[in-house]
Amino acid sequence: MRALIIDDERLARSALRRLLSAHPEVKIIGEAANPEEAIRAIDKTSPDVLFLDVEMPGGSGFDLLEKLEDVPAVIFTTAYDEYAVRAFDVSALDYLVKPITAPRLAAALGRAQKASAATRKERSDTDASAVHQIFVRDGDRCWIVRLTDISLLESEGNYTRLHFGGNAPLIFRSLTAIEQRLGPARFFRANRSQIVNLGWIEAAENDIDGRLSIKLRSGKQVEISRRQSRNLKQLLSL
Amino acid sequence: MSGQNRVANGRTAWPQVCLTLDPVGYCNSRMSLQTATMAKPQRTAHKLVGGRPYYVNNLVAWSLYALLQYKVPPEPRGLPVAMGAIAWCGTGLLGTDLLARYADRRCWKTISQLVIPFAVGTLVLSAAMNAARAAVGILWFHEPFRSTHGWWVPAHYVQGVLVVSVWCAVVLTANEVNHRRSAETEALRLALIAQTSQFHALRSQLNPHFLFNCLNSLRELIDEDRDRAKQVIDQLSALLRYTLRADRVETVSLKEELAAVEDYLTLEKVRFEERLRTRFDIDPQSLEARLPPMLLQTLAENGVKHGIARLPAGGELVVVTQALEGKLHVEVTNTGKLSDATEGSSAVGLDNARERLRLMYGDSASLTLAAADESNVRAEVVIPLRSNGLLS
Repeated sequence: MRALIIDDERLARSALRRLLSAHPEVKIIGEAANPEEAIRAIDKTSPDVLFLDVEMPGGSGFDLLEKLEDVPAVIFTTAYDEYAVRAFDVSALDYLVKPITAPRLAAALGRAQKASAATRKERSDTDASAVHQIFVRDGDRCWIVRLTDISLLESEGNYTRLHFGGNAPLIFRSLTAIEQRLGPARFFRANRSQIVNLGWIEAAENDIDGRLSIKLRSGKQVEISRRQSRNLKQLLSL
Repeated sequence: MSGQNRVANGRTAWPQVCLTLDPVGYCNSRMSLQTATMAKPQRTAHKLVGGRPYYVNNLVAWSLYALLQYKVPPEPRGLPVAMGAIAWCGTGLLGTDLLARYADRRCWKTISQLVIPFAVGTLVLSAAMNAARAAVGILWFHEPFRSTHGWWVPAHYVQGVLVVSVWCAVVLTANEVNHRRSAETEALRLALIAQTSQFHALRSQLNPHFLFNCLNSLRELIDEDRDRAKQVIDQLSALLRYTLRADRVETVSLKEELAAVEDYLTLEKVRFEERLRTRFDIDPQSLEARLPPMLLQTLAENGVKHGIARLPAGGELVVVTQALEGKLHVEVTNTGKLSDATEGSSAVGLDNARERLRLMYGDSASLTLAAADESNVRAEVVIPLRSNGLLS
């Protein structure tokens, strides 16, 4: 597992490095002292896991994640109370509160390993360069969402509403802009304002005028435009 | 009496609240606030009977009235008239007392609850007063059954009704005035308690975030540089001890506060290393000035947290103190942007510090935060040198 340590304090970085030296399966491929350095390092080395300090000069750890095209596994490190951070994010891999202890680190690494194995498998199944998971922020709440978990994207003016796991946050990005990042293998443009995850389609039925109406596993009903109905029929070989 | 028990139970709640006025209770400021809100003044049952003023006033009033009863009729007055007046007023005194006790037993809360019992009581009592006077005349002095003693005579009966009505009005008015006054006193007392609690809640404590970061650095330092680690432990202990003491004293000397600030900044330098640079410019005249503990530390911590910690290249924090024209001036200038320094938790911290100063010095102290130039933020505190602190 290739790890990148992101923390503005040298001592905090070397403390983590020292703790990680007990885990030979983790290879530290770099360190960054601020978000700017971190983005450069991530682009260059594409690590499997980030040890990410929440509070840093030049933007928080969340600001950093927002700038990433594809988000690797993340283990947050913070001097704040664990519960205070939990309020921010419901789906990060793990939190390590400072001072970091060896047993907690071992547990977090166990989880990270499982997650990165799953990611590797998924990568080999699909296009290796495709985006795997993204960071979503809506007000005070943040999520790291696997694209496979997103069932539906809906346009709301300049914003887009994402539907995943019972959440539906609004993000400030147009549906078209997001579509370019999604990759056509998994997502399908249903009509002018909706994109569906092909993996979430439960049933499709023909309307009288030849248009398709599909039902997602989340229970949502989506009407496909006339032009896209033809494409979808081909795609699903109906 | 059940009524008195109730009052006694009500009072047992007070000593707990009073404790919060005691310095020992400082550490429980949050709890005392709760107690204070719980003990809101409620509209409790009124009491008419009780207390020396009630008995004395009642007795004096009815005695004077008896004297009047004796003096007003034409000569010759004699014993029968005197005894008649005593019977009349004595019955009034006992009757009104019974009426008041009856009202108290019904635990009345508003005057409207008393209208019917008092009206009936007045009508009955007037008849009783007339009957008593007639009985004394007839049975004791064997007076003929004269019309002047007749309790059915409308003039006497109306007089009795009027007298008892006046009594009711006076007693109820006095009661209401007393009740309002004590409610006001209660409100004032609660306001004082709330303010005291608030004052102690406003005391700034060491930021736990700072503490954990510090411990995290220390953990690594133990492997890297043992001597430095020992030094850090010493400084951290000194700072912790200072913050604990800050909970117990109203003011400290600037010298003590500066020592704590130096400890704090040295500890932050362990974390930030070359990113945090500090400079002190201290007027020796100002060292003995008094100020609330942790005030300067709060400003320094703000400067680090919202200024220097946000800059990848770090910055400088300068502390300047001066005793000038009877006032202590303290300035903390740090690299950073004013917009960063006035948002969220920083604003709360400064508001708390400001509120503390207001509670202690009224309008004679001030705390301002402004941009010193485009890349520096300056916090300035002015405190009167000879403090007549409101709370000290």
